[in-house]
Amino acid sequence: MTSSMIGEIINAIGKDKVLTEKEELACYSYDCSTYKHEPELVVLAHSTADIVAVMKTAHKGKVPVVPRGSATNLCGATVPLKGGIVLDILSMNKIIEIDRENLTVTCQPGVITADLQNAVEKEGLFFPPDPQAMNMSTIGGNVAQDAGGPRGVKYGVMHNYVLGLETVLADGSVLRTGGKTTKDVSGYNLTQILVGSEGALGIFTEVTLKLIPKPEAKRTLVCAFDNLHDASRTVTKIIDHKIVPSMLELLDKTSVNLIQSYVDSGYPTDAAGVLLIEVDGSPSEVDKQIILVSELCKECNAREIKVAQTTEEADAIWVGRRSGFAALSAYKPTVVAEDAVVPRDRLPEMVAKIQEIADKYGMLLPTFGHAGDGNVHPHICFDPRDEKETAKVPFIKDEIYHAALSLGGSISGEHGIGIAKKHLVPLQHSELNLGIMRGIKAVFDPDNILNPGKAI
Amino acid sequence: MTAVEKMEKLANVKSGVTPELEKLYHDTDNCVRCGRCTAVCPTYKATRKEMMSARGRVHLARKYLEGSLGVSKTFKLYNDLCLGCGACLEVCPPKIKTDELVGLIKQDIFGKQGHSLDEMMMLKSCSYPQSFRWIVKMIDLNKQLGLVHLLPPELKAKANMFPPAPDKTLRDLVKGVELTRGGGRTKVGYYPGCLTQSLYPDVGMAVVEVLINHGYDVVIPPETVCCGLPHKEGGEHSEHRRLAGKNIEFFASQGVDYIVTNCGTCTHALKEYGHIFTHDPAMADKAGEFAAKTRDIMDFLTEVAGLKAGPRSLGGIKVTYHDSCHLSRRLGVVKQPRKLLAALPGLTFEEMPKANWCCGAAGSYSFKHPATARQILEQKMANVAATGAQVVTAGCPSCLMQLDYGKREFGVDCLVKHPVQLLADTFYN
Ligand SMILES: Cc1cc2nc3c(=O)[nH]c(=O)nc-3n(C[C@H](O)[C@H](O)[C@H](O)COP(=O)(O)OP(=O)(O)OC[C@H]3O[C@@H](n4cnc5c(N)ncnc54)[C@H](O)[C@@H]3O)c2cc1C
Ligand code: SF4
Ligand code: SF4
Repeated sequence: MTSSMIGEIINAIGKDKVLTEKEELACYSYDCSTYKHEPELVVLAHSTADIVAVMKTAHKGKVPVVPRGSATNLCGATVPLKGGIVLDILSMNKIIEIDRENLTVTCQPGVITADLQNAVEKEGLFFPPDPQAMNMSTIGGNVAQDAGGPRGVKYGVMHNYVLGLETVLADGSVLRTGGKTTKDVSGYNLTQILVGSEGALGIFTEVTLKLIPKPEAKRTLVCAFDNLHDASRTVTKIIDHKIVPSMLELLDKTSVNLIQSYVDSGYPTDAAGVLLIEVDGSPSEVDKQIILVSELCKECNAREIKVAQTTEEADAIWVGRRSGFAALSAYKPTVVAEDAVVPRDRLPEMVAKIQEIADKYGMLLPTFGHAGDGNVHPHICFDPRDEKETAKVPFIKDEIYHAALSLGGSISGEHGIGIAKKHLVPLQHSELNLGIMRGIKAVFDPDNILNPGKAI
Repeated sequence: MTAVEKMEKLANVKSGVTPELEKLYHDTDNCVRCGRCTAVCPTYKATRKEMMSARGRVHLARKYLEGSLGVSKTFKLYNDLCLGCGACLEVCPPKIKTDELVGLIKQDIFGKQGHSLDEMMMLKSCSYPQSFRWIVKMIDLNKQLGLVHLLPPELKAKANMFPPAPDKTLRDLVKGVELTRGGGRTKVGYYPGCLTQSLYPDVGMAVVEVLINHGYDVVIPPETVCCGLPHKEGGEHSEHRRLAGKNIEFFASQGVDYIVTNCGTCTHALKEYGHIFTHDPAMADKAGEFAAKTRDIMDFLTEVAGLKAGPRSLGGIKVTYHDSCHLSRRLGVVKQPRKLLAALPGLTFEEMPKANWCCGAAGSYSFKHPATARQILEQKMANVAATGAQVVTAGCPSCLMQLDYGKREFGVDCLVKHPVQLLADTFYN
């Protein structure tokens, strides 16, 4: 970047929104992955107009631009690999409108996920996607990563909720797609192409999301199994009985033990696998469902079933799950959360494969995840100062994804590709698929200035 | 198999780093950059800048200790802008002590570059009670003469942060008070601290009143000096020890059973005395004894004295409480003030959202960084206002001063008091 470009940006949006000191640039070099690279300039955008101005200059000078929310992504998606500008949108954090009649919320991209959830829940409404970093992550980052969480099994993930977007494109033009309607079959669905685009197709400046009424009641149970196979087979059994729990999470023994030593969540530490299940709906419905679910668990050889009797008990159970990543980071200096997804009925095989890989490399791969939708997170925990351990990491990672692909799955359920899995993309997608994706990228961003070097 | 990626090799500390810093550096190997700290760090919430979060500060500290960043104005500034509030530590999975790390780096810089003129003046004035009092008086005089308006905007804001100086200091007031009418059960030493002495004598009087009402003899050694925390943080360790030594001697000569303060920061500082005389075993013993006797007044009242409120009703006022950082995180005094307030007749307690978020006072922070402190205070005052309380209370005079400034600055209609003042009110007719 030349100093005249920086000058142009400062003139357009003001000096206080631009960071240039080396200490400042250093702080925008990382995210929650293991990669780092410093930008040449950081812009703290306060409005769509600011972003338009930045993109006009960047477009003219062919300068790379990486949009950034809270930088909690796990795949290097906000690391400015080619330098250029990091475009921070955290100051665009207004909830613009909660529309009770249309059941929508419109907000700026920098709103923190949990703040949005709390705001709509105050109105008796519900925004289900619950990435476990929701206290830190932004809505813009969630859209760009197509994030999801435990509630995905019943309620789906971000893409099921994004109705409309305002997006600034690479040349500074402003694109509006979708709106407040839940149905729209006019033309190609550009909104959905933008969801999950990891900042490579445009920069969201306004997001309209679908809401649903808040379920009246919910109940939670924890059950323990003597082997992981029984635990994962229970998942398909429950769904086969036409019950879709609102959350259905599987934890292996190592994760359970690490979580229990981090925060007491009432999990049995001697079981090989633990399922956490929540059902929601009307009070009578949930009472019936929780009994049926308990019976199904029993049929699959569950050794111990505990139904939470109070909200506090249920909360404690879910706090444990939410602390999963934290518990592992308290255990080893570096934790890489892998993210493989397979068709639900192949889950028992996937879990067995992970176990095999762990044994082969002689490392623990604490695994937990959204078993209800076949999405598991084996975690590679290691000490980067231990050369032997570190050397194994890339191999373990690749084996996990080879296993997922061989079972008809995908290399990412929700954490995205970024830098971390770029080399695996051609294994999953044919040249034909990739060609179409590259074509789409070229239409949106012909000079390849938006988040270059990532994803495809 | 596809080409696997290479993992980046970690750097190491440069030579000449102190063992304490080296240990903390190695702890930061464990920062996974999860961003949990960003959800609670007040400076980050107020500014939304990465350098203003623990995650950012850890990254900068690593680069400094590895030798790839030197001491620049910007580097100093971002370290200085950490409140040291410790909120990040509570949520950090690998328990990285960012507050300590930043504190030691600041001392490292002082060691290399010395203090700025401002910092020197501040530390010198803290060393001597008379000069502290003189500064308070000068600011007040300026305000009264209307000269503040002539000051540049930044200085004007600083002057406005001070509440009006009371006519008499605590020292003036307690001269005539008979301090033994408690009945001689146990002798409690009271350490008032600089701000209470000069700006909040009413709080000091309330402490004395309440202790006497609980049947204690109260002793206030007339010559106590600053607790020394500003000097410790400024890396002036010998001055820190000199001040500590004086305070220890003053109380030792009085033969007290307990030492109480009404300031979270002072209590924390006095309790630290136990660790600072590592090369002087005789003094270390005395300091340890002194530290063990020291308690916060609210902690003392609820946990030792068997709290009893007076008969007078406070008339149905709604009260909220702000947790001072030192008091809540360093000393774990969280339940005690709530227990105290709940015991008062005619008082409804209303918890404010995020009660343990720093108010931005943080020692001299609000004077050194008025703009950032103001942003932090704005969040705090919004949370105070959300309760609709008529009185906001806090257990540290530095917070009282900041909250008092906040209520004036952001137009929040409430009184600002120390909880013991309300307790004392129940004894008066
Ligand atoms: C402890 C922990 C738990 C997690 N749990 C989950 C989980 O359960 N499920 C899950 O899906 N993820 C999870 N994640 C990953 C992460 O939280 C999500 O990917 C989240 O969506 C990222 O949001 P962010 O605001 O941090 O975005 P960032 O990390 O800042 O950005 C992510 C991507 O979005 C792009 N982007 C950001 N803002 C915009 C914008 N306005 N316009 C266009 N592009 C933009 C960036 O360029 C980048 O490519 C977890 C992470 C952590 C640290
Ligand atoms: S919470 Fe701790 S580990 Fe997580 S980013 Fe902050 S300092 Fe690092
Ligand atoms: S000590 Fe307080 S201000 Fe400093 S990084 Fe931690 S939370 Fe932020």
